[in-house]
Amino acid sequence: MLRRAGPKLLAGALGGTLAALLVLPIAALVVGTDPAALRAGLAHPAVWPAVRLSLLTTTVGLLATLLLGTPLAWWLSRRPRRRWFEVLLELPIVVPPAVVGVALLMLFGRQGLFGPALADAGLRLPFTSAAVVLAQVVVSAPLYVQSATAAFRGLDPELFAVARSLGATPSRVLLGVAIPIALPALIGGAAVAWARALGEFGATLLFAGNLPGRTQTLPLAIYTALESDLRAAQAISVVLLVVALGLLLALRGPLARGVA
Amino acid sequence: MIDLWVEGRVGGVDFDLRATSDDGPLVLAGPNGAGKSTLLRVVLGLARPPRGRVVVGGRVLLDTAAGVDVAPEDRGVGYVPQGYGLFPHLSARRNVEFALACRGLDRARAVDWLASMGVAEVADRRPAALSGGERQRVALARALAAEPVALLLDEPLAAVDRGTRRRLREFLAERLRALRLPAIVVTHDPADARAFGGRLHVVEAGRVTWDGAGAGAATPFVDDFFRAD
Repeated sequence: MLRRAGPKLLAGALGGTLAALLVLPIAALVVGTDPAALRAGLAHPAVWPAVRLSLLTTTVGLLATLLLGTPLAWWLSRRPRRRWFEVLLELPIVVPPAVVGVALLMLFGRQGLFGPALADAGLRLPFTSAAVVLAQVVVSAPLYVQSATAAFRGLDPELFAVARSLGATPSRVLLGVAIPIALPALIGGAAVAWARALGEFGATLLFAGNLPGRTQTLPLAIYTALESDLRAAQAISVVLLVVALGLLLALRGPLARGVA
Repeated sequence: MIDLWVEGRVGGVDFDLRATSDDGPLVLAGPNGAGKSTLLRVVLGLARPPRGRVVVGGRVLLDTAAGVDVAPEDRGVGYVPQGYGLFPHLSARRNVEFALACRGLDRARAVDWLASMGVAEVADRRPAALSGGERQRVALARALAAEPVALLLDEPLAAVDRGTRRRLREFLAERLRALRLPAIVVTHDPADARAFGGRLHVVEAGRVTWDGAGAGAATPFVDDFFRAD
C-alpha cells in the first residue's frame, strides 16, 4: 500500500492539473456571466447577425461536406491505401488555419491562381459569405473524410460482395448497405467537423475578413466585441458553449445509441 | 453446368486452373490461401484474371479472349459467404426484401422465401439475434429470392456447431438437389464433399491437384483430406 501511494499520488496530481486546466476556464466563463450580464451582452448589435451567419454557413458547409466527402471517403476506403494522398487530404487539419487562409487567397484572391478566371466570370469570392463557407469546409471536411474513411474500411467487404451478387449497383451498395451500417460513425465524424467549422477563426479572418452581417461569424464577433464590450464577448462565448455542449450530449447520448 | 478456366495472377495467387462440373455442384477443397475464395470472386465478377473463362448454366459470364465481362449485379450468381454476409442493420425479412428490390420483384414474397427455408418465425429479428443455423437459412433464402442462375456457397457449414452441422448439411444437400441450380461449394470437410455430390476438386496454390476422376498427384493435402474422413 505504502509503496504504491507515491506514484499514485503523482499520477493523480499530474492528471488532476490537466483536468483542472480543461474545466476551470469553462467554469470561470459560466460563473462569471450572471443572467443580467448575459441579457445585456446578447443585446449587443453584433450578436444576432453573427449567430445567424454562423448557423447558415456551418449548415451549408456541413451539407457540402457530407455530399462531397462521403463519396470521397467511400472511394478511399475501397482502394489500397495511398498513404501520400490521404496525408495530402489531411493536411488542412495540421496546417495552421492562418496558413489555410493565405493559401485560399492565393487560389481565389484577385491575384490568385483562379482570380482572373473568377473576375472574368464576374465573381468575387474573398470577403463574401461564400468565402466563409469555403474556409470552414477546407478546415473541417478532412475531419469528416478521415472518420468516414475509417468507418467504411471497418465494414465487412463480404457484405458488399453479397449486395452486388443480389443485383445491387455500386451506388446502391453505398446508399443501401455501407452508409446505413456506418451511420453512427458518420454522424460522429460530421459532428466533429461541424464543431470545427463553428469554431473556425483564422482562415475565415484572412480569407473572408470580419464584415458584420456578411463574414463576421461567432468567433470573429467574440474577437471584435472583446475590444469594446467584454460582456458581449462573454455572452457570445456562453452561446457557443451551450451549442457545443448540446452537440456533445447529443453525440454521447441518445442519438449515438439510437442508431448504433 | 459450370466451367471455369482461370490463368494468371489474381488476388495474390498465381492461377493455372480448369474446373468443370456437368452434373451436381462443383465442390472445391484446399488449404487456406490456395485461391478458393478468389475463385468465387472471379465467378462473382469481383476479381478479374488476366486470362480466363467462366461459363455458368450455359451463360458466358467472363471470356477475356472475347472481351466478355458481365457486371457483378447482372451475373445472377447467388452468393452465401462464410459468415453468411447478412446485413446487420436489417431484419431477416428486410434482408430478403433487399434482394427482391434489387431484382425488381415483389417485396411481399420475402416471408414466403423465409418460410421455404423454415425460418419465417424469425422474420422480424436482426441477424445478431439469430442462431448460426437460422442465419444460414436466411442467407440462403435471400440468395434464392434474387432468382439466381447459380449458387456459390463458401464454407457453408464452418460457422455452426457440430450438432447443427449434420442437420444443416442434409438440409443443404437436399435443397441443392431439389433446386437443380449449378452450384459451387467450398468446403474443408470431406463429409460435405460427399453429401453434396457433384465433383470434388482439390485446389492448391491456384492449381487443381485432384479432380475426383482419380487423376492428379497425391499431395500431402489430398492425403490428409481423405484421411480426415
